[in-house]
Amino acid sequence: MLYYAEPVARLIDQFGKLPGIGPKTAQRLAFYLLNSEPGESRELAEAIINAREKIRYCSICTNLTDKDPCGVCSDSSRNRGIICVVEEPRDVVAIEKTKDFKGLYHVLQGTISPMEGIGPDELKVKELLARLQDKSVQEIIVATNPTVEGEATAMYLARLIKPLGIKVTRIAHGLPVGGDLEYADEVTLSKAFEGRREI
Amino acid sequence: MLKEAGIMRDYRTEGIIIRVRDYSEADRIVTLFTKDYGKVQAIAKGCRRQKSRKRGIIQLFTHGDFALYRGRNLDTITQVEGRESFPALREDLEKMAFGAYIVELVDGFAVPGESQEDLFLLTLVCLHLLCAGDPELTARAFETRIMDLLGYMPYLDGCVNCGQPLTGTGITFSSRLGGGLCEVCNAQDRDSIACSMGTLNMLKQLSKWDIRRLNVLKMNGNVRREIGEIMSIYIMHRLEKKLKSADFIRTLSSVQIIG
Repeated sequence: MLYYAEPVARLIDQFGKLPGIGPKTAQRLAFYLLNSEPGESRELAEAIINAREKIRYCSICTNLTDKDPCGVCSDSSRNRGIICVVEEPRDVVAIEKTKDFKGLYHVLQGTISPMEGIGPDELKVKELLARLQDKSVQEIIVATNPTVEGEATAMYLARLIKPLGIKVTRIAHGLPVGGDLEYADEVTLSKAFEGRREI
Repeated sequence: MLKEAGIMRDYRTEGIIIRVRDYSEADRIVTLFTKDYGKVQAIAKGCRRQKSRKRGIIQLFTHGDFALYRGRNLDTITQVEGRESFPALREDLEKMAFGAYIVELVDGFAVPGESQEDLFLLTLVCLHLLCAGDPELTARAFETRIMDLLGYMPYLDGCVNCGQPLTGTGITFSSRLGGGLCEVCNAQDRDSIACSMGTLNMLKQLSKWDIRRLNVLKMNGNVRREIGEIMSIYIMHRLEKKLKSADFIRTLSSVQIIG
């Protein structure tokens, strides 16, 4: 027996495909839209289609963008001598929020994972090397996640880029601000000691 | 009966994390190779959150004590205490790649729910050796040992086809027949790989050598290359699939030449 009219069932089904949304939430979202102003659901539908059609990868940094080159790459006030390498577009947002970094980015779209068969060829490494042909780049900051895969990616990039005479740095690992020594795990704590500096 | 099942739901065991995969918002699904229960699939809930205490520990290669809760499909990791996180494997690309190869082999050959204590100890010893010594030699020793433990050790005491002792030239190694072939018999397997007597002797030695003294063993370039080639094809035959990390090791060595 069908509980819902076919269009409603289809809507619930589509919502259910989104991450973090179970059948109950999908149902709630669908009924919310059905009860809302007609304009609201139209706006949502347009926003989805718009984003899907206009967003592509920046030809320079491979971040998601609606214009090519993206806002960061075309901003003339940014320092073109430093490139920060990150895993995902989300990481760019996280770093931009700090307002401390004024250089450019490069998004790898993943990490090297030997066991999943993801090697450097599956990542945007070639694009990064192409950018280094421009002699103005002096430093590469590798800001991949401090996981086994992230570290492997960082070491791989260092091996590739250092022979070109460009400085390669890795972001520091340590205790989170407002954290508690007692609750830190051993690996993080020993990293924090390793990376200590004079005050 | 019911009560018995109830008692069994919580269990503790020693294990090594041999595979990690992100799942949902903040969880990870890990494959553990445990001392008492063999291969176990378990979920570590919330371990990617900033606040999680498990965050640093739920990483590939970690050896630790795990408290788990049995579920229908997946078990849940309730507590972990790390014993060794093998930091050297995270700081050296070569070691990391060979480490990934070792755990991928374990993942391929370990059986869920069945204790394989000798394989567990072998894996642990090899991960430690990897940190301290020659990564390629360690991986080669691990390969021969795991084959030996699982009863797949190739026959090397003579020709696998006619039984005559292997001497001189024209010796090949057949993955299909599982051993060395003499000059007369090497036509039995057209895919068999030409190799030297020294390589076959080294294979035999690797399977018997005291593994703690592995670093004393000398392996020259030619033997090293031949054993690598032979074992990778032999293991592919036994496992019936390609090992992804082996491809990665190959990519790595090509980068080294450029660098």
